[in-house]
Amino acid sequence: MAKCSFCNRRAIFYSRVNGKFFCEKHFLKYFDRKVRRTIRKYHMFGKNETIVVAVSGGKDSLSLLHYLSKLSKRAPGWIIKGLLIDEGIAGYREHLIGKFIKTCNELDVEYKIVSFKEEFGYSLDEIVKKGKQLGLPYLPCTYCGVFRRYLLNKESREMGGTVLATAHNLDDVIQTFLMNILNNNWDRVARIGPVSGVITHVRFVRRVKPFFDILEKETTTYSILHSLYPDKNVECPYAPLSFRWYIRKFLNDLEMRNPGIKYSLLNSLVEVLSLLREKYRESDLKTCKICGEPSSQEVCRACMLRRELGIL
Amino acid sequence: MVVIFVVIKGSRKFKINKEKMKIGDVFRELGLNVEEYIPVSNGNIVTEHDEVKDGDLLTLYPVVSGG
Ligand SMILES: [Zn+2]
Ligand SMILES: [Zn+2]
Repeated sequence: MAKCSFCNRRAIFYSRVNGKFFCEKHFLKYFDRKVRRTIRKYHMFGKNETIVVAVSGGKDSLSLLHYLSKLSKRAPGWIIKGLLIDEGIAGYREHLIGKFIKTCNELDVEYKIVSFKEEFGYSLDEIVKKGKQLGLPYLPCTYCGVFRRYLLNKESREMGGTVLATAHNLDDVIQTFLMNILNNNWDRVARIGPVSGVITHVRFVRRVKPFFDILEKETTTYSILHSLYPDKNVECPYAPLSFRWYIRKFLNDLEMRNPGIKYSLLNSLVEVLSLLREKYRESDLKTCKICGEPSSQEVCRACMLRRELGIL
Repeated sequence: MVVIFVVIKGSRKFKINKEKMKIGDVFRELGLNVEEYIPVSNGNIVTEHDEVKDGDLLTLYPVVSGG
């Protein structure tokens, strides 16, 4: 039996990066210290905040909701709320919604569920089908990403949110980083930092990633320890179509051979972000002529896609 | 001789018999990456360095899944 490097209790986590073993108590302590360090370092939350947590119902976002809800007990000025966007992917999101509601009730957290269908009149499945019929050149993840971001901002604002917390972990972040390097999209790299840029629009809700420095292996461990891991682990049916899937596999194989390479890549990102800030200064956000939401162009991407799909 | 049963949560099942092995050996045996699953043995999370005992039921929780 492997023992904790700090107290001799039974180990539940082994870090291949520093060769240390952690028992449940010391793992949670390590996890908490890391997240709090990230929150402090990037000034994620002030004294008084209504923090809306974007929840998919999967293990990472439920872990974030759980973690912040516990942390808020020590921060009297914080209110935590949960927001779930139901894209409408048959056989995928449905069973996660139950888990989301159950967790919110257990944590005594206010929540809201918003669906593509109610908001746009069509589910993601229907949108993807429509796009194919029209011969539009987009992957499912494009529609999903644009519409989700749109709704997360709009709905979190309507819930009184002063900040939107997403569960992107270290793995998600470095995957996006690598994908954008490979595609030579440096303007996008400039936007994957732990906090969104300066607020330049009254309708824009600031975004933060408290798990920026946490490995997906660690969020998974946290979720199992708190019974937040989904009963049925279904992957998004559109995921294998994506470039991200290959990058994820590649990074995991690399990490197995060179423990610590993920942290190293994250540090590269942090380093390059400060250089990119000069070149890609965030321009002031405009207001979409069609829907009134914040947008970098005259018309926001959600409205542009809706127009192309003929569902505006 | 140890005989154990391995379940990858939500999908495949395996039965392995071998002389003495550690959790890490089970991963190698199945061609899986330790970065991609959390091993849970008889209800407890274990590490790749833990020994496997005869009759153990090992469940592997995939690390990779949507948010
Ligand atoms: Zn310990
Ligand atoms: Zn718009």
